[in-house]
Order: sequence, then structure tokens, then C-alpha cells
Amino acid sequence: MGPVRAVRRAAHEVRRHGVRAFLLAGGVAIGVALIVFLLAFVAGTRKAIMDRVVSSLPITHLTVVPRAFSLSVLRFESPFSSLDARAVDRIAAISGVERVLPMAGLRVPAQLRADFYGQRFVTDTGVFGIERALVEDQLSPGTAFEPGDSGPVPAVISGDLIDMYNTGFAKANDLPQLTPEILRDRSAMLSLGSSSFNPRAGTDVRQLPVRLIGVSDRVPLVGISVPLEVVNRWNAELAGQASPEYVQLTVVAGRAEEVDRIADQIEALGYTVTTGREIAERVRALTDVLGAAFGTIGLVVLIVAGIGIGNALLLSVMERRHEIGIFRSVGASRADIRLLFLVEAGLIGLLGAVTGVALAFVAARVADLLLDRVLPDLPLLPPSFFALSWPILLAGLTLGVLVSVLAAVPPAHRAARLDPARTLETG
Amino acid sequence: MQIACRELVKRFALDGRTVSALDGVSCEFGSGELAVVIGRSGSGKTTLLNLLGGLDRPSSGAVQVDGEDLYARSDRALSRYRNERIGFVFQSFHLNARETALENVLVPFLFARRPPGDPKGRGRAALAEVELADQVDQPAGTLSAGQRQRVAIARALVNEPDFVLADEPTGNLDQETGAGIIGHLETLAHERGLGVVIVTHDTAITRVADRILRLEDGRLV
Repeated sequence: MGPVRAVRRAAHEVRRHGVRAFLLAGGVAIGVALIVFLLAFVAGTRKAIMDRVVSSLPITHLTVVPRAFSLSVLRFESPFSSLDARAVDRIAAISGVERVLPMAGLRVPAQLRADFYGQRFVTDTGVFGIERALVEDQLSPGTAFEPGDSGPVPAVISGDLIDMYNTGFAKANDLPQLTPEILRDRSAMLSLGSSSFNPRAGTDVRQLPVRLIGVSDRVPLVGISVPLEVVNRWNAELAGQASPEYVQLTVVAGRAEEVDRIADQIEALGYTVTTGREIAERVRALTDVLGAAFGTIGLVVLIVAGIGIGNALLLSVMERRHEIGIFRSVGASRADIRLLFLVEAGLIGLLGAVTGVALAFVAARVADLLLDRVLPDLPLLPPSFFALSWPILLAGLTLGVLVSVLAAVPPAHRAARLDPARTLETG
Repeated sequence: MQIACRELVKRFALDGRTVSALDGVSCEFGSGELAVVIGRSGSGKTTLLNLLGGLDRPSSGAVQVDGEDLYARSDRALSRYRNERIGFVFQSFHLNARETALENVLVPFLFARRPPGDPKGRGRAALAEVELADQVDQPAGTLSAGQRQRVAIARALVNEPDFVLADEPTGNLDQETGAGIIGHLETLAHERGLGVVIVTHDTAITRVADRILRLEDGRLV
């Protein structure tokens, strides 16, 4: 019996027992829909996180910080792993390193004062010095990030800081939402040596205007980032720092394949290294676990549906004993009978799986709409929480058919083993 | 084509004891011959017919088809034998009541190794041969008993077998309709040269037989 004739006959049986087939396919559809929906959610979440990871730390970039030791809640930096000019030179000399971009932290307290919408804001702030190359591709073309002899100091802030302000502070205080466009070219006053935590500070306060020139997700979250030489100069003038020391180095590798080797060599120098790949792997591992857990839930539902198909087909074998006998008398082999039942289960599975995929697609769109309505103002959120990719859709379809066919193996085997002479006697 | 039984034995387990349905039966059937096997209920007639048609397996002995042991074949080869060389006609017709006369007749082609180019044409021709050309699209369940038996004969003939094996073909029919069916089977043997074996307890059928075999308690007498 050829596969085409088997499919035609099985389709005929599915049509003949339409209600039963519909119910059985419904079970498969629920299982497949659940699997596709949950896996698409995991994939969508992974994509959203990875997009941010790649954006904040591209795979050719490594961040280097001094090695630290933790003792309960206390954290101590190793005195032998400070990031100074010598460290920058040693790391820059490693083969494959294209560039080393140091980041310095201001060693005196600072406050930022700004006027927005008729209100004055005053906040303590961290001040970091960065090189233009760190954020160059995230700034508008032609934007200057060099300190002039006079005029305001150019500054960059973190995009996540704007998100936090919008979703927390602005909402709580009924303030307007901010965007990078609104903030660009805004001026503020930076008070060096001023702090709301230390009343003794502020005796020697230096007031300096700053101008926001852009937003980046590669600068520290809490604070403003200004040109590196500015912070180095302020540290020398206000904190008496003889030579620059850095809080972090961003190392740019020439090729992504060299990142792991470079990371090993930098760690051998006594520093702690984080790579984009490492973070990506952590995210991948976490989402893999989540995907496995969600996939298992869907698979359990699918297996229950499969057991339903198996039981229904077992009953069907009993009901169709007579028909099986007729088929055998006109030339059906055991393999033909087995094939008929397996193909019938496969068709029910396919029907359910296609329906399940369609259900998952609709459910994902509905969930996106609902989430968009519940969380309308979160810029951190991706456009969709679901990544309905072809591999996920194919996995859903394959699992739906496979589980149905596997569940049909015992009844198909039983049907094939029926003694045709006896079934015709009792028919 | 010739079918020969050699010391055929068939035993069944029934309520914990072994019952012999056939006990050392030897006989031969050939093309162009209408053989009638008569005997009371339980004498082993249906078992013999099933064994001739490759539908059962003997406990011992052999069924030879043109000298070759039928039951030495694989299940697939045995199925092909039933599909291509044998046509069964049963007392209770064994049709699918919800399917049309034509759909019932076409069932053997579902399992045919090489189905004909125009299976529906062949099915219609087979139904026309049993004078049911105007009933092809009628569900089998709506036909009279005589018509249903003729559909069953059309199904048995559609794949052009060498032998027709009929098990009490008139058992569910009135005398006149039964006579028509027997007449048709007689034509198949004597005019088309098919081998026809009818098993029955109706001794009236023996008048058309070329050869009569009598079974009693699983033995030929």
C-alpha cells in the first residue's frame, strides 16, 4: 500500500469520525499551542536581552576592572591590580588588542543642578571620564565630545537612567516623560566638591556648566560621563591625584575570535575581565533552562493528548475489527493495517499541530497587545515579547505529529495482529 | 491454477480445551471447476475456505497453490495472494454499510500492488456485470440483501482473481435471489474459467456442482 493511498484512506477515516477527530486534534492543539507560545516567549525575551547586551558590550569588547575580594558584605580591591597608565600600556601591548579605552571616576563628591519644566532638580551624581571612542557610534554624527577651553563641558548619560526616571520618578511625581531628544543640548550646573551626604563638603565648591550631548548604554548608570582628560584634570586639581587611575578599562579586540584568548591574558595580569560573549552565554544558559522548563510543561500536555489519541484509537480498533477483517480478506497486509492507523494518527496530530501553531500565533499577538496596554511607558520593553521563529513553529508541528504517531503505535500494532478469520466470524 | 490441501489440520483453543476444526483434510480444486463443500454447522467448512484463501494458518499440513506451499510465504506475500488471486464472498456480505456500492467494490485496489489506471471504471464494470450499474452511488446499507451480495461478488471479481471462495453465499437470501447468485457463480466457473468453491449447508446448491465434498467433524467423508 503506497503512502498516498494510505493518506487518502486515513483522511477518509478522519472525515468519517469528524467529531472524535476534532476533539483529539483539540488536545494536540492545546499542547502544541502551549509549547510554541512559551518557547516563543523565551526566545523573544532572550532576543530582547541579547540585543541590549550586544549593544552595551559588543562581542569584540571586554571590560577590565581591578580584582576584588569579598568578605561577607565587604569588598576589597586588590592593591596589586590597580588600573593605571602602566596597566593600560601592558594590556594595549597584548597581541590582538586594537584599543584600550580607560574610564576614570571623579574622586570628589559632585552635585548636578538643572531646571526642567520650571522646576529645579538637585541631585548627587557620579562623574566619570570616558574616551569619545567608547560612545562614538551611539552619538549623533558630528557631535563634539572634546573639552573646550571655555564653555560648558560635554556630557553623556545612560539611556537606562532616562528609562528609570520615566518609569519611576516622573510617574511618582507626575512629571513629564523625558526622551534623549528632549534632553539633548540641555545645560546643567555641576558642583564639584558639593554633596548632600557630607555637610563638610562644599566649602571649596567649584561650579561648572555641562551640556548634555547624547545618550549611551555603555556609560555608568548613575552619573554623567564627560571627556576623560577633564576628569583626570579635576582629580589632579581637587583630589591631588598625581597620576591617573581608572575604575574600568574597555578593551577592543580586533577580531571576536580573539576575545577569549585576550581575556585569559588580561586575567593572568591580575584583573577581572567580563566579555560580551560571557554575558551572552549566561543569558543563553538562563533562557535555555527557562525554555526547557516551559517546553516540558507543553510536552506534558502534549503527551496527555497523545495518550488520549492512543486510547481513542484503541477503542477504534475494537469498533473497526470487522472493517479490518474485510481489509485483510481483500489483501491488506499487517503492515498496511499498521500504516493506516499510524497515518490516521499522524493526520490528527498534524491537524492539531497546525491549529496549535495558529492558536499560539494569535495568543502571542493578544499577549503583546495586553502587555502593551498594561505597560505602556516602558522604553526598556521590546516591541514584542515573542519571537515566533521557523524553528519553533517547525518544532511545534513536528512534536504534535510525532507524539500522535507514537501514541498510535500500540493500537496500530494491535490492529495489525488481529486474526482476520476470527474478526470476520464475529462480524 | 490449482489449490491442493495436504493433511490439513486446524485446532482451536475453546474454553480451555482444544477443538479440531479440520482433522487431516486432503483435497484439490482447479480452475473452471465449481466445487461445493457441504456439511453441518461446525463441520469445518468455513475454516477450510479460510485456509484455501490464505486468511488463516493451519495447525499442520499444507495448502499448495500450483505446487507451492502457501503458508511458507510471508504475510505480505500471503496478502498479495488474497488481493490478486482470490475473491471472497461471505454469507453476511461484509460490506461497509455507510460507503457506496462503488466505494465497497474499490476496496481491493487500496491494497493492490499495481492498481489499474482507471479503478473507478473497473469498479463500475464489475457492478454492471452483477447488474447493479444503476446502484453504484447508493450506500451499501440502503441496498437489498440480494443487491448487497451482488456488490460483494463485484468486489470479489474487481481485481480479476483466479478463484472465488464463497462462504454460504445464499445464507441470508430468499430462494429466488439465492438462485440468481448461484447462477452467477456457476457462470464464473463454467464460462469464465474461474475456480469456484462454495461451502454451504444448503444441499440444493449441489445441483450446479461439478464436484461435491462432504465434511463431517473436520473430516472429508
